Amino acid sequence: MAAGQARGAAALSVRAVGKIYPPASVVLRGVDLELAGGKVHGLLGANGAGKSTLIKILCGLEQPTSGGIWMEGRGEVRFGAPREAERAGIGVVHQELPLLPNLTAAENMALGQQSGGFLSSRKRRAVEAEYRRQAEMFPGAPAPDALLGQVGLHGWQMTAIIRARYLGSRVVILDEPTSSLDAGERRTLHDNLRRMAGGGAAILYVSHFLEDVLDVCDSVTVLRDGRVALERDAAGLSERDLLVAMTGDPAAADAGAPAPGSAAPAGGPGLAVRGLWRRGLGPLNFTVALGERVGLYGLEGSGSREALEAIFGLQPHAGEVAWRGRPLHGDAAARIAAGIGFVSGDRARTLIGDWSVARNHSLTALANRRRVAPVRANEEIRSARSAIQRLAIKAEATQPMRSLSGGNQQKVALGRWLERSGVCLLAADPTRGVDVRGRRAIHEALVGFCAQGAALLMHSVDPEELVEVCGRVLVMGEGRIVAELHGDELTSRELEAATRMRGRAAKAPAA
Amino acid sequence: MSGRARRFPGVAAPTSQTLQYYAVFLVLLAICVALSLASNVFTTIENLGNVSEQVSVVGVTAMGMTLLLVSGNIDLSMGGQVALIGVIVALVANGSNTPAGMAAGILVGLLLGVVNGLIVTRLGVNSLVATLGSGLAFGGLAFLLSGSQPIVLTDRSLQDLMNLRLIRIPVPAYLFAVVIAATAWFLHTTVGGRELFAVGANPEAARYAGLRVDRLRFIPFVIMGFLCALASLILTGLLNTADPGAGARLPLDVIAATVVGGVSIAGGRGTVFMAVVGVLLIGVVSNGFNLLGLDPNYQSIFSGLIIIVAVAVDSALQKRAARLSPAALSGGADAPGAAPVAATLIEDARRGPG
Repeated sequence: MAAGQARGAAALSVRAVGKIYPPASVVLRGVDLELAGGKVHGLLGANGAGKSTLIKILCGLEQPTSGGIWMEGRGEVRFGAPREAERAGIGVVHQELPLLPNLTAAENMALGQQSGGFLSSRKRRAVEAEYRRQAEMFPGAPAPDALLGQVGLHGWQMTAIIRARYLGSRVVILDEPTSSLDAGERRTLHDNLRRMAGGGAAILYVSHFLEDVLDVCDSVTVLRDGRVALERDAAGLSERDLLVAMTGDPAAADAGAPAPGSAAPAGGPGLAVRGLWRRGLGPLNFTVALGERVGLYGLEGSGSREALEAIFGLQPHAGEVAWRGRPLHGDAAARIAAGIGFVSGDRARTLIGDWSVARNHSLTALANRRRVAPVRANEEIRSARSAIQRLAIKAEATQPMRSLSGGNQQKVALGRWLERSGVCLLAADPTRGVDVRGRRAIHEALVGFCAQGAALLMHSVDPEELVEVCGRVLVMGEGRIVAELHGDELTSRELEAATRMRGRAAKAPAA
Repeated sequence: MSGRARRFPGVAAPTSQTLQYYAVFLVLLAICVALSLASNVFTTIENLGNVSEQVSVVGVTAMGMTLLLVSGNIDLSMGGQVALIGVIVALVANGSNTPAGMAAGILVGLLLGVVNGLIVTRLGVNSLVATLGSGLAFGGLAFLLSGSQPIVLTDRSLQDLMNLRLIRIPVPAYLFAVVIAATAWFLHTTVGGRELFAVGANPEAARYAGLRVDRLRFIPFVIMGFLCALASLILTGLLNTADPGAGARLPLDVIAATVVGGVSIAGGRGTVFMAVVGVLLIGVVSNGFNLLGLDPNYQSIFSGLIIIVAVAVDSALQKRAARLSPAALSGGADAPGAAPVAATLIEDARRGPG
């Protein structure tokens, strides 16, 4: 404890923290981390580097096997449960934020802090006034009486930040805060974080996005294999420095993105969408030639994801969709049989955590077999192993899905479709929450896949990802295609500019 | 852990399940040993025949319940179904002949299953509520049709059939065995069985994989209807009477048996073998209370405690398994507990404005 005070200034320091999951999985090997009040500190690392475990320890979900945590004015602290961490002044804005969509923003801010059951109208007014006061410094915060379920992810996140401020958190941890935000929202978030730090809070900013980390952070820690690989001020750091620290391999950091695809269609009729329409979507008209990779860029609510789900047959729609000249009808099972595949970055929706890799791998093959046909366990394992080899997945075929890292889980979700040739793959944000290396591997797999007579229609909220993978990008807004970019004009700057114009463009009838 | 996974390729049995697997099985063996020591009647062929006869009604329907629970649904209407089918069997048998009564019973069973399945999959009513309601209605109809009186079968051929013993084993035991084999085959070796597990474990993942989720959820209700008819024929035959009040306790016994066997109420987990162990456990305990001459009320108390202990152990092991898994929070596709709930909430929130 004396040592804790000797170091002094840090609002929170993590010293030599180790974490071992029985029987022998060593996740953290003596990590040090110092967070100073008034500063934003970045935490980076590939999937499996130990970031998530470290955050879990900081927010009381896990206990360290060795080492400890010191907080300013409290000495060494131990958190047996998330509540204790919160009480000690650590606020967490997590990917899976534990706020309630059926309550208002103000109620969520005060959640668990009010005695008694339902809020009386007097108390409600007091809470709302308090919310206004706290929210003053955050422009664009949801109205106090807005239901959190209706404010979108950005509003949700902002409410969590306001809550942390209300609770007087001296340390605020943000876990992948920008993974679903557009450029404008990202800027607002970063401004808000700087303001929050200006008020004296120490902020830990955990992200895969190097650019975002360099934009907002004062200092950076990079974890690799459970150790600190780099710790220094952010000033003068380049993305390459961070990549080298994350991968430990200068060559890998220099390897470029997959070769940009030619905009010219490789040949033959591929996916043809004519007059695709459903409520709030379309009419959409476009084609994806065989071998072509086409992007759909649009934010939440723009209709890009909905368009993919309609083409896959998950949502009923009007209009015609054809693949290789044959019209697609019926539900998803019929479309899978006709050669359509769907991969979503939302792994909780596409994978079964309790099941083995092999079973998850073969899940999509079940729909088109007879129900009384026998399952072929050996065949499943053989097929899963070939996907594991092909995509360099770090897993065994019989391992439970849950024990894989996010990037490897996503590769399994993708690998299901790569067994067949001539598939039109629909990808919705396929690298959400996947680290730089995993992203690159998935991008390469997508590009390689399309080179073999397949086609890709991919939606992403990240313009850079689309520029990297696609030869042509359709920009969507309010359910329609508002712009099409290819060749030299296809840059992330142009894409973002195109979405800003959607208000005007959407009024013109889409071609 | 990984060693075990390798020995059973393709079977990813979570630790918690494996532990409970042996625990309940060992409890069953221990009770059998204790009873054979405490009573010199327990191990006689005669008594074991009685046990198998007594468990067959619960056992046959427990197989249907296993399919339903695995697919993420439940059927509380089975007591009403068994009663209503029994009354119809008796009315038709007394009105024309026994084979016609049996055929009518099976047809009605399938029909009631279809009704339940449609209410759940077409009208989107939660199965707990839907079958609570339909069960009340079926039970009421049984009382109405029978004039609230047990109906005695005039023709004894159904009774003769169900009381027949082949190689000293009663016919209901054979029926139970056939149903076990058929259910195990479907659930554990076929594509359809795998699909049921998927639908119960993660309906969204099943939908995104192109599985016909509603159709898959419908099937177990119809199978349950058929099995209720079979159970009703056994029950009516053994007593030679159709009692409209029969089966009031049945849903509780059946759920107790399956849950004790480790079939998850939350869906997506369970095995036929363990459900059978659960059925036998409840049956043997009941038999033991009879043999030892204890007040049958203790039996209810004991069964109640067993259910709670079984589920509490399951829940504790689940939590431990989740804690041991490093990826539970970061990448866990469906870590039990708050994470998936929060994910769903966020998803709803995102969709809100769109």
